[in-house]
Amino acid sequence: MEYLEKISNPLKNYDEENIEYLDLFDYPELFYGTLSLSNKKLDFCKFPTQAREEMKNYEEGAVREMESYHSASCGVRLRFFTNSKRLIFKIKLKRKYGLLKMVNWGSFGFDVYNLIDDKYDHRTVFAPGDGFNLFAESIYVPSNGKLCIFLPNYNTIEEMYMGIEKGSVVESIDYPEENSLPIIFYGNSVTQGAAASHSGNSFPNIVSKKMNNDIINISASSCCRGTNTIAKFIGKLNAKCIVIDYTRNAYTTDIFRKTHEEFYKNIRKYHPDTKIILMTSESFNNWRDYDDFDDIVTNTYENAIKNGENTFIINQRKLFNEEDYDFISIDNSHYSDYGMNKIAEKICEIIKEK
Amino acid sequence: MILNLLSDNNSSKHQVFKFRTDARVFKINFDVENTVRGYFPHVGISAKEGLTVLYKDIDGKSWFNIDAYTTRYDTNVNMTHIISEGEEYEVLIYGPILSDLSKLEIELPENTMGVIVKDDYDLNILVAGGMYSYGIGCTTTSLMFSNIIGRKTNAKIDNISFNEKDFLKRTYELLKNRKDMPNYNLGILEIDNYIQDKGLLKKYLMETINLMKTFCNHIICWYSISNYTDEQKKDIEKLLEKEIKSEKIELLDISYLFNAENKDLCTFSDKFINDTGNIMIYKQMEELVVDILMEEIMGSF
Repeated sequence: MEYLEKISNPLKNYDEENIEYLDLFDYPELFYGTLSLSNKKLDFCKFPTQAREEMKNYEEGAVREMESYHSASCGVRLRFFTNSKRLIFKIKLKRKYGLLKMVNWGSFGFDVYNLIDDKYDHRTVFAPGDGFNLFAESIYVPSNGKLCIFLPNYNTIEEMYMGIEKGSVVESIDYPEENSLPIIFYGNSVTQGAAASHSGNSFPNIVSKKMNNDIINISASSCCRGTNTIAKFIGKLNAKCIVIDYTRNAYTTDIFRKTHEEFYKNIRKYHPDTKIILMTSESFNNWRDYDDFDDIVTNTYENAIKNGENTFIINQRKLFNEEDYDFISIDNSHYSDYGMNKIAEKICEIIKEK
Repeated sequence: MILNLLSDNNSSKHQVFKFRTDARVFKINFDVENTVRGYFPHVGISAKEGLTVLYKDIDGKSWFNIDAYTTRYDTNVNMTHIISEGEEYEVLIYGPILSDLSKLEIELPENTMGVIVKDDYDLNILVAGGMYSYGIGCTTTSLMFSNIIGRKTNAKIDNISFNEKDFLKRTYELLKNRKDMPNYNLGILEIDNYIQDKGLLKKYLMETINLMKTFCNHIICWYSISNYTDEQKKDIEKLLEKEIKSEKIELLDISYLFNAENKDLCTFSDKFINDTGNIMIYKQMEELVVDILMEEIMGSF
């Protein structure tokens, strides 16, 4: 890795002879999981202006986190074929310093997989060290030329250039038709990807890998409030399945009781037949309030079933043995990859269920 | 009331502390020094220079995470959503792996109880080895395989690992020069990694094991390497053949963390394991460790 002062500076550690750079912001068709396909320029923002503005109705932390993460690239993948043998990336990120409970390869990681048919072969991950946000990295392209790079879950990409050997081609790799309708995730810091060890291992990204299916991850730490704006926004997106991981950001049981079922019903209005998965709380240290939260989610689920709706529930705490709670998450709620994988397996099982 | 947890501890890495209290809120006041600078995108900030804190009920067996802390963030701990008024519980604190703790005090409210817990362990385990045993690759120190084993077996973990290329040589030298070694129920030795000079492995492996045999009742040797050839594995088995046959040591090959099935979940690349790699090492060792420790406990009757 080479740190840069300016993105246009020539590199000292990598040979740039015979390399030409593509400004990837001019190639939104290579990215999956954004909502910017109709635009000419790549745009990572997945929150409508009103949804961003309404965080002001909540506490300072929500405003701050929305400001930090409204355009984080969580759940976004750069998928392409190239006949270039090597690539050089020049990248400018918004944030320079790591997060308290994540490793930088998890929060800022560019997680590189070789696509072999519908399988993902992990090759490497790269991210800058603390204090740096402008860097270059070179990778070798596997023999079949097919790459899927999961982008940082907890950072915003401000500039991104990809150097290819002159005359090489770069083509997007679409998902198979039956897997192109996205699975939508709406959730909190865990859903955004904390504390996966590398970007590709957040549970939404694991679901995407396991099913080789497109996803859209509309999650931002502290900002999952189950608002009408977001319900309407999700309602208008086409989806194979919608995963609602709305619990702990409500903060109080009263607020959660008032908003959870209403939020679900608002989405259901737009998606009368779509499979919807409701998640109970991620809470692994006997925090008493979350028992009530889980009862509220269960109540929403039971009412949906009574109405004959295509709705499922995942009780996150019951998926694990209590004696394993100390290692499935790195604190009281944020999963290690071990926990992420277990959740992803359960989601895949439900999605595959006829 | 202030509990000074560092009062009779030397400043060092891989430290573990416990105390009992009935306080439903407390503050952790701590400082670190000698923080190792460098490129550590695979180590969490709290593991580098902070603390990981867990709790358990007084009569409970399972530990639960409270949170991870650094000096840069709020270190007030609020247990009111978990602990009832007047309920006593135990707190476990893991120190950082890339810094030395220079201060660790617990500030408890008036009219609450606090007692430092020492030597309540059932067993003593020595953990030695290279970067994986050291905790490199962990988001928090509670996810180091050695600390998971310590929690699950109520064992005191003495971690003397080195995040160095020549870790086996360094281990040998440390053990050789250390006076008054305590007796350990079990020694867990990481014998090789991708970066160690194989000449050093051959030179120091048996020497280190022979030293460990003088103060460890049982020894588990293990390695987890992505590109180890069958020939290299046979070389190791040959080196340890006599010891394995005489059942003096167990040898575990945990290289499957890097195979096609597991590498995405358990590793960052062909060089580094992650939290889940540590969990899998714990799971691989769990049964063996419990058997050995049961034998130790039963043997003492």
